[in-house]
Amino acid sequence: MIIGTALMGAIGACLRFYVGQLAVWRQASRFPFSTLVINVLGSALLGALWGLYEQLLINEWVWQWLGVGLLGAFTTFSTFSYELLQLIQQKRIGAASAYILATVILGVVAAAVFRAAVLFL
Amino acid sequence: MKEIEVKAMQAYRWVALGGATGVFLRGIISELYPLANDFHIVWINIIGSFLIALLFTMFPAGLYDRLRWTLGSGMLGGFTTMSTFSLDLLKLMETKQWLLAVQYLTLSIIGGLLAAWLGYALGNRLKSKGDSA
Repeated sequence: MIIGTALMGAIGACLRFYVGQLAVWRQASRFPFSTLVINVLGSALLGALWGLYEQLLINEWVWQWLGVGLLGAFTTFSTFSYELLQLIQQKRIGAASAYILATVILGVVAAAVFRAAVLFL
Repeated sequence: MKEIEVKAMQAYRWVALGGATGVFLRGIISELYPLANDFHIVWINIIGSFLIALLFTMFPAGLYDRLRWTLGSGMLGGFTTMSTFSLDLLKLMETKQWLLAVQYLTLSIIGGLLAAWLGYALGNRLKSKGDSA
């Protein structure tokens, strides 16, 4: 099972790399929007997946492969910390605070909303 | 132009290789050393933050792209995770374990930031030593 999870992780990491390289972000290169969008999107999808798993609509394998592997690798914490450090080193405390708040609040809310949506459907 | 495209295609191979390794390591650690309330994810994220800052500081972009793709974007990006972080936090809040939720949140953010700073400082020191040698 863990081999499959790791393989899904390879896909997740590539998807993240692909999204991160999109030209859209170049216009706003002063703020790490790409990581923010990736993390919030991944949290939302993991919330939905957790809803399905709770309802026993998907089994352990699907949860491990898509949740732990694909979405786990798609989202990232290390880049978040590193970008946060860079913002602080540039003395952009407002941007750094906004980055933390946006990532944490939007991530949790997105997970909650998507999970609720799955339970509701 | 063509050379750039080839380089971009190669990047995915290395990111994929690293990503699989990172997820594998996260799976192994979660399995072997699980902590109550999923706090092992906190440690995984802190360690990953330290290592990525160390890596990116020691090996600047342009010169070491392959290393940065494989170990940074791939392995450490796949090793650490934000989606599970959000979901764990949601679960703690839903079960009204507020103290644990606050601990989980502050340990992750402050720990991750301090770890990144430590990695950056160590990376700079190692780099300047390497340059002067």
